[in-house]
Amino acid sequence: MKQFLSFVRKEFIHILRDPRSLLILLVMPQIMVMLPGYVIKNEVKDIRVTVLDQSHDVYTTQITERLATNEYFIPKGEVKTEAEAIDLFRKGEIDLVVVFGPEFASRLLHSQDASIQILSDGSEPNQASVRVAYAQQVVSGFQKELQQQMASSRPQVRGKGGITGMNIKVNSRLLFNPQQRSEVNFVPGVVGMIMLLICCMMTSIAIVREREMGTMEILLASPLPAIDIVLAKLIPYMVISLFNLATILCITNFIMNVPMMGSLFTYLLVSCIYIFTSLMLGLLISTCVNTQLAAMLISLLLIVPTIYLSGMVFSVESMPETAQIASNIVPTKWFISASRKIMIEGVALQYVAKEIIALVIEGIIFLLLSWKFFKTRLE
Amino acid sequence: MTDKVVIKAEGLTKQFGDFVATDHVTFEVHEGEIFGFLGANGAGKTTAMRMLCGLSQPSAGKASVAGFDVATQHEQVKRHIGYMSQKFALYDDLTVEENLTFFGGIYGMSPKKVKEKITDLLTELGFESERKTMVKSLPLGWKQKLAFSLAIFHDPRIVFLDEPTGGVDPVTRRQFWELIYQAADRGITVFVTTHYMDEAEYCDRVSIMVDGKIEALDSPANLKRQFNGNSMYDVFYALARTAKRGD
Repeated sequence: MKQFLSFVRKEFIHILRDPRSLLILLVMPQIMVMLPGYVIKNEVKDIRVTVLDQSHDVYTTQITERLATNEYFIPKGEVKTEAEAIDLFRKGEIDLVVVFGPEFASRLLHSQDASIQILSDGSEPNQASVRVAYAQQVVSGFQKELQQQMASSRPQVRGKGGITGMNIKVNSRLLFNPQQRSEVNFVPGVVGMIMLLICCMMTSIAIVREREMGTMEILLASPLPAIDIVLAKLIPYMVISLFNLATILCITNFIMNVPMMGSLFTYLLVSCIYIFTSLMLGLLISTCVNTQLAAMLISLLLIVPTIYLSGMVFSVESMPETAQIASNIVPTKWFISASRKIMIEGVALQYVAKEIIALVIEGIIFLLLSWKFFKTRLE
Repeated sequence: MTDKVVIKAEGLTKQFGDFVATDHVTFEVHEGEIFGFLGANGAGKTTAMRMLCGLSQPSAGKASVAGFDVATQHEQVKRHIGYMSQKFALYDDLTVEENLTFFGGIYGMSPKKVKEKITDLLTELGFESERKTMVKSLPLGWKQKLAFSLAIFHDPRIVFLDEPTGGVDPVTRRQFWELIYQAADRGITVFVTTHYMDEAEYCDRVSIMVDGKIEALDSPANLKRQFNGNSMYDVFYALARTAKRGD
């Protein structure tokens, strides 16, 4: 243990003595979080929509049918209460809920203020607004046709100054992120990126440096077991990642006022698992290359697809199918998805079980592969 | 130097696919001896040395170092040896003292003992003023001496030196060999590979490897007599030109 600790101490000296790596490790992450997030608008397809119908009359049925047959929508049945709808949102099974107010048909015909409310998932604000707009188009298309029908069958309506009847009031409401703030959406992605950068790139560089300098031979010729050497290299980066996580949470919470809706414990758990997976990826890279430069290039090559595929900038749902399948092997995708659910929607642990399992499996695969490569290298 | 055997190799072999890097090598090294391990590039010296250090498993044959089997007891082997590789291998961004503290630490020495030894060592080397100096700003000769001191910092029974004086000027090489003699006087067995034939003359006994096999093994004086040469260079040239392997 004492041998191990003197090794960890040495690793910290390396880091503290190099101003460039200090800057990358301890200043850049916080700056990245503070930078405003610009999220690009995406095309939205396959909107999973469910209906909360309090009237069940001829018009609500017609609108529901139009939604169901529209190419942009996938009908997901009906719910009875708003609570039921919110639960479906949390599980990630629907994207939109169309709520028809009570006595829809009679209000539409007589008092002229029939109302529709559209609920959407605000944790992805840009997509949410596009989804709502599509739904509004369907409703206004229906309204127009209805007005024309009425006008031709009951021309007397026209006499009272144009088509005034048949107004459907549509209002939309974003759930989970009612202010529609993009930084809320941006934070999980940035945290995912920073962790990958530190755990994956910096760790692999630190390990490869020993090999490049020739000190690895000396270490291997010492009685220290190989596993201790690797662990001692990983620990400082794990500590730094946890420190960054803590400061980022403070910045987002107290300065940017991004609330943590779910439990902090769940979020930290998922983050720790993601840190583990990223460290193992860094370890794997370090066993594949011989120079620090190569380690850095490979890490960067991994980071670019991560930006595109993780859902950090572009939503996974609006990607082509092949890209969606490919996104599953990007660990950051799972982390971002889980942290959005926890931070913004406030779901409990069991709803992010899929993400956790994916991260753990990937981490273990990276670990086994690195162990295999490490063994062959020794010979 | 005593008659006690500290390194014993019997038919030690390392094969990579069809290529036999080290081919049934047999020799003994005695305690306190300076044993020169010579051979042209690619002769299989480094491979043999790596096996003796417990860094690589023999394909056939066996070897014991400090009484421990290199194939099965490499942890114990590593505990009793020091190793200095071809590459200069100190941490550039650590001070002299930090480097020594680190290596003392990974060999399980207590902080108190490490401190005492550092002071002794630096005084002995006349190096006390450089205690807090970053290793990268030291001249190469000093780094080399420091690397050797590190290799024997934990008082190993045997120290393996893999071409320790590559790229160092003759005066520094001479000084470096003074350190090697001092270590041998303290009873540390020195196992050294080199390309410099004048250095071969400094060894108690020398083995010369050609194409993975040991072709000659004796004291420099006996070897010169046997091969009718005036210097170790003549001996080495007589043997090495028969080599079929190149780099």
